[in-house]
Amino acid sequence: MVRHDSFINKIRTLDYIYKTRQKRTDLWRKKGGTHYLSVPNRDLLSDEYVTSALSQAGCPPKEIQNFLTSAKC
Amino acid sequence: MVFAGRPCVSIVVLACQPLRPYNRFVVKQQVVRVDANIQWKILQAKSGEWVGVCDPLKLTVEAETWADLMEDIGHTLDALLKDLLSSNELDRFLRDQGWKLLAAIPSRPEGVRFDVPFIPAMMANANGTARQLHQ
Repeated sequence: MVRHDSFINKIRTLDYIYKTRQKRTDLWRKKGGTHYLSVPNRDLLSDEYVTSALSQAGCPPKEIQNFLTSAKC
Repeated sequence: MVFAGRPCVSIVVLACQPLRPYNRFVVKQQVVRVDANIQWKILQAKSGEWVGVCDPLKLTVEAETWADLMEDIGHTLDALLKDLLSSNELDRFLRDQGWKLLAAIPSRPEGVRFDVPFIPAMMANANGTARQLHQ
């Protein structure tokens, strides 16, 4: 599991900006593009979610693995 | 006499006020249906959460229960299209995806709610157990 704050910090470094809040999720959008991320408003995010979301955001597998290792709680 | 007169005056003043249209600020929500059929791959994480992955849109949504996931996918698609509408990029996005609106955007778009149909397809879960496709 990965802390919500760690994931937010990571996607900020990838140039995503906060857009809107829904019932249980937040919508983030890549600056200058039309790619979006839906981030759950929960303290902990599953490894599967983090891996898929970062992969779709264009992160190479090795970078995702490093992030998971460093951000795991 | 003074005390007896005041309440009567107040009542007259209140009675003379026109009825206030309290509902005039309520924005009526208008559903705009989208002609789209996107597939979401659904899997269950090792920790128990449900994760939905949409490859065409490069979107991933996570929720605690299946019902929450279905709702959150709908809300995410609605929010995404609203954001594109606000930045005047909706038409181009719809063209790129091959989607069509089944109704015109209302003149006051702040009340619009996009309804995007999607197909959840159960995939193997994190433990590797194959699950059947739901369709």
